[in-house]
Amino acid sequence: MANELVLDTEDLIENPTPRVPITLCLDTSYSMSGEPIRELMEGVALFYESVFDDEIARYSAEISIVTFGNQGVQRYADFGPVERIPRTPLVADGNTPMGEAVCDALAILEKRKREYQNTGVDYYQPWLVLMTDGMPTDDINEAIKRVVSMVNQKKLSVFPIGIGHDADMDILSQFSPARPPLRLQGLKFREFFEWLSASVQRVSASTPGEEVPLDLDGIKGWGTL
Amino acid sequence: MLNIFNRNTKRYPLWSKNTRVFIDTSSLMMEDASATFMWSYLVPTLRNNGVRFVIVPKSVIEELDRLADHRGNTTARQAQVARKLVKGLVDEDSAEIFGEDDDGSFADNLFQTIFTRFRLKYRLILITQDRSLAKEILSLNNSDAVDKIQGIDAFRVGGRGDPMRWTLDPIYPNGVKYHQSDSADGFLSVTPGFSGARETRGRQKSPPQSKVRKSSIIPFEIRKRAIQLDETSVKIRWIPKEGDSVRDAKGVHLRLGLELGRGGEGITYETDNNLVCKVYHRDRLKRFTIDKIKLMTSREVRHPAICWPVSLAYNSHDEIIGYLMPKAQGKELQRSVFIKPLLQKTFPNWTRLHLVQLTSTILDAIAYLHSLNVRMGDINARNILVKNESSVFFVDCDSYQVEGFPCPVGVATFLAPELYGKALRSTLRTAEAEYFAVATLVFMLLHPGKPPYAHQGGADPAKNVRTQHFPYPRDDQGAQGVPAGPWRFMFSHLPYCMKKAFHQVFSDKDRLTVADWQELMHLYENYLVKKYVSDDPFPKGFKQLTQEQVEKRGGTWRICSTCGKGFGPFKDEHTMCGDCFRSILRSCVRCGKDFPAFKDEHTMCGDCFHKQRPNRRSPAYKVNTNSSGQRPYTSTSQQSSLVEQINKLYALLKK
Repeated sequence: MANELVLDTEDLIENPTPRVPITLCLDTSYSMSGEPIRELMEGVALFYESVFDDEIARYSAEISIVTFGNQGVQRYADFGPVERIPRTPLVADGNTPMGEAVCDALAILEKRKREYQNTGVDYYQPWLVLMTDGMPTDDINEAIKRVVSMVNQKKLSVFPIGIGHDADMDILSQFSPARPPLRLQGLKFREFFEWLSASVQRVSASTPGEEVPLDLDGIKGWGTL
Repeated sequence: MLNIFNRNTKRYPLWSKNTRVFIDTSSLMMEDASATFMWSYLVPTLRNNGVRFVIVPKSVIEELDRLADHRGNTTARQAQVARKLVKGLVDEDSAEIFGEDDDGSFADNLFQTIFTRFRLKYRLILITQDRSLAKEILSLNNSDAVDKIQGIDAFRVGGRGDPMRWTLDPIYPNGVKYHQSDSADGFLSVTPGFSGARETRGRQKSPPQSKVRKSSIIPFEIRKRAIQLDETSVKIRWIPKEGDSVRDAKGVHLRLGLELGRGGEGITYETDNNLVCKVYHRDRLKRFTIDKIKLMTSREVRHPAICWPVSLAYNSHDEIIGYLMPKAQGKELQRSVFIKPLLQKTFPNWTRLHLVQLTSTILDAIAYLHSLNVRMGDINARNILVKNESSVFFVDCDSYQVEGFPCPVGVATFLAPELYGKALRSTLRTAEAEYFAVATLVFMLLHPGKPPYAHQGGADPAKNVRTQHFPYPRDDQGAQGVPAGPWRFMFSHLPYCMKKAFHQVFSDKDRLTVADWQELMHLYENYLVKKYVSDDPFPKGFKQLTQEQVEKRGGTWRICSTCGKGFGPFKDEHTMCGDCFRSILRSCVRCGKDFPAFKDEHTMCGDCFHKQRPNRRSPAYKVNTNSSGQRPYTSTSQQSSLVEQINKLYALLKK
């Protein structure tokens, strides 16, 4: 464990590339059981792989995962090198504490930002990917307030994604003042994560003051408004 | 800027019948480079301007003879080659030797005397590799008689035989720097075919005109205002793809081969004539792009490193669908050099010398673009490809700033602070803005991938550029928020002139030109070759000089008063090694600056302490009575022989 910590610090400071910290905030509630959770798990593994496969994304993207559902809010994967793909199976169970999960995701992003600042590593505004197939079972007002305030200050990019027909798109849209939430077509997790990893590469090539140009054509491959 | 030291108000033109050119031993000893310089640059330039020959002092010949006798070493070989070169020049009536046998005087001293004596009468040029000689000769421009001086210039022979101009500049060693001679210097360059004259020894006085060309093509115009870009999409009925035939502006047909890449604007394909064709997506080709490519292809910009558009490309309906350019090789900086594991994978044998040479290669290509009044604008780690340290490829040239067409894009780390908040699509970038990007690139090549303004307490790249906090240590001032990791070690191993240059740009906001960086890279390379500085691309600790290194630099080895370890002081007053000195730094309670607390009770820096009690200040500066660096005075006997020499020279000069 201690060894891993030293390695992590080395990875952090020896890599000069400005980072894009990404937190996936994933619904693992009971309703995700069966095929959805399996597809989600495969999508996540594919995300790590395709980020790793691209030399630009590999050294700039950093990924962490917070789940909400089974055993409440869990830190499923912390920030670290992308070759370390989380292998523990995701289990769908319990209800949907989305508010608590989003606040926890913001907390680990904040912690990571402090680590960048303390070591003098440049970073771009963090990404929060929020995926759910239902509606929250806890209070989400605090979470919405904090996310919206950060997005408006350009301190966070948020990607709210609805899964299936029961996803509450109205709640998701409250998290995203800048762009509308998207609904995943069927279970196209893989297509979505492939698109997400391609988008990471575009961040470092973006012109300051302009929005990161998202591949809008690419969205058609997995999502609908 | 830096060049003010060289600007003499009233100067005679560099080249005329009244120009006299002298060459020093050092510039003859560069083997192939010396030959190229003489035959391809200097001799054609002299002939073109009615100057009959270059003057070689007899003492230079004697020095060559002496050196050539030490058989078996490199110097001897160089001297032998130099003697042959001089003989060839004399045979061609392109050089004259003056002076007497065995007068024993130093050639250096001779040049000073000659140049002092004749500076009012002739336009004088010295070719030398010797920094201190160049400095002394150039200083002769600045005297009481400055109005009457016709002008003295000094050049050196570049690594590839190209002329490099010496310029006075106090921040460089010996107060002088050199840089690539520009078109204003009026050197002609002659195609290699002409150097055959050495073998044929023909009596041909001047080469055929067709083989002489000015060293550059006609540069683009400099515009004050950006063109309003016509963003109307151009309709294309049929977009060609792999396997389809397209034609260039001259009607030559070519076939699109494999797809090489795909971006927001279009797709690039290989072609069967070894070019690359960019084919625009539907509605992505704009009117202004066509106008810009037409302008760009109006000049034959053919530089091995620059994938400059060569022609518009048309489909079978004669519609413009994109353009053709040379094919690039190598890997993007971001995928090859700017990340340690990728650097070690791509170039496993690279040392710091390779990084420095790569930097020079890139700077040379940028300087070439600048000589055509083209600005890259969007310099970044994705549009420079590296094949090896001496071969690079610049791609995405269609975004360059050419005449009134602005460069519409930029990447945060390289974008000059003053450009933030400006609409790049309608802003022409200044040379200064370009110099910011160049300095950033140089820093990131020497600290592979690390942006100069990354610091502890920093934020996103854009904000860091606008804050302009450069965290690396300077002279006695400690580091302030220097990033964790190996970057501080790399900085500590840089030659002093490099550290100073980075601070000048990133702390003092006084940006160096491309020529300044080129010269610094030559210096750095020289230091590496001579092993004055570490060749490790990723040093694991701060620089520790060995006793030998310290003494080689003219310093004295001392024992640290605190820890007892040996160290090399650079100033007389240093009694403590760097590590111990840093350990006693604390912040001043009054101004907050770091200062060395030599006693435990010190809480305030010297400045604040004295401000508080002004009378206590003792005379701070001791007068330096010993002016070092002066050459020994000429002895009487040497002086008399000099007088005779000069009289003979005078007769020669009048020829």
